[in-house]
Amino acid sequence: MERSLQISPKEDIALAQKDLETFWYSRLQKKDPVARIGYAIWVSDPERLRTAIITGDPEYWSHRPFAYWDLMARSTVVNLAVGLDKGGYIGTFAETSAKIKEIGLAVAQFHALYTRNDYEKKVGQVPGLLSLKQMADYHHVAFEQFNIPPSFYGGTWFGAIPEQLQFDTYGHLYCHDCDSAEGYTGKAQ
Amino acid sequence: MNKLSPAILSAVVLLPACAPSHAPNAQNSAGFCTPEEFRVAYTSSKGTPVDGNFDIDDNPFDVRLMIPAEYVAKVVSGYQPTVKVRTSELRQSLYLTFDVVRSSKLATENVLEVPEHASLRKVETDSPYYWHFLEDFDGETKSWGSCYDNHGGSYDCTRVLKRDDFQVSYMINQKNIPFYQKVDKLVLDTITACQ
Repeated sequence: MERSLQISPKEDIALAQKDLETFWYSRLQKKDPVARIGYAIWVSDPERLRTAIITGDPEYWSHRPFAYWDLMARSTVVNLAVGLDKGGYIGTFAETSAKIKEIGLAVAQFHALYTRNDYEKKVGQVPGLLSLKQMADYHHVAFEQFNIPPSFYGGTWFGAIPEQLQFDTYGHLYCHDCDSAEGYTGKAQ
Repeated sequence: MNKLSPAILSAVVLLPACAPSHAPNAQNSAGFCTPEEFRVAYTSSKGTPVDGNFDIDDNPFDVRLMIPAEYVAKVVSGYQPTVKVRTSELRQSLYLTFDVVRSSKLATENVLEVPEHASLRKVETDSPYYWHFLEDFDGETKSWGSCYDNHGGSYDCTRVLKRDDFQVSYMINQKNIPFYQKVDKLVLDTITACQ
């Protein structure tokens, strides 16, 4: 059976409900490569990510373990917080966390739009499968909307690795469902 | 937090991100200009991507242009440089991407009037949150672009302007669609400035 990467009604509803975990998990089931980091960022329980990796196709996960994807997710969230800061945004922990969720929603919506366009226009070799360049493009647009310098999108793996100081400052933002800065303690550490 | 593993850090491939290009402001082989002040360089490797899970890129154009929102608002009267979506004021800069002309079959059924945009017609899709616009221009109906509900009080569209040898696309929010013809002109003036 041909692999279908179309945006499904279920994914549409998840976006409408601002449910990024469900959206990216559905994309994960279709082996959409962007979903690996999308799900890693927005999964409410990192154990679910660990299970998805252990039970998933190693090729799809680029033969990388949970610790790698967990680090990528943390790096991305920290990068976004630093990028917001560079762009002049000032907010509390909760406000910054909410702003990162807004960016996440914008990115997911752009992803859906680009995927639909790719599917309809048969861009590349696989309809609905994006290239790294397409992914970079919509990240740049989303970052610009939030006044995050485009250099905060690294061009490939979802942003440069932040410095230790930045991790110390913003690393706790990775725990999206936590209601305090104490939250996630780092199961991979 | 414990120190990050150097092995993990070194495993991450960091390509150069967006940086100003130092190439001259010149016309490229497709016949459009890439003014240096708006240029955003994107360095990518052609052919097989680093991660084989991604698609192979078949777009021959590497150039991207970013026209700042404030500049657009200065040139296009009425254009809103920021638009509120959910709780955020989002900048409405024009990020121009180029591609070969890609066409899909124009829908002729379920074409609806768009009261707020007299020159556009709406073509619905299977999704209630995604649709296409057609444009009536000089007695001819052409594809205008695609739109989606941003679930934040408005919708956003990808406007696709087709020329002979290439197409140029940009994102535009519903609030700025009334000015799209002037935005189109700004885009075309920008990419023909060197001619």
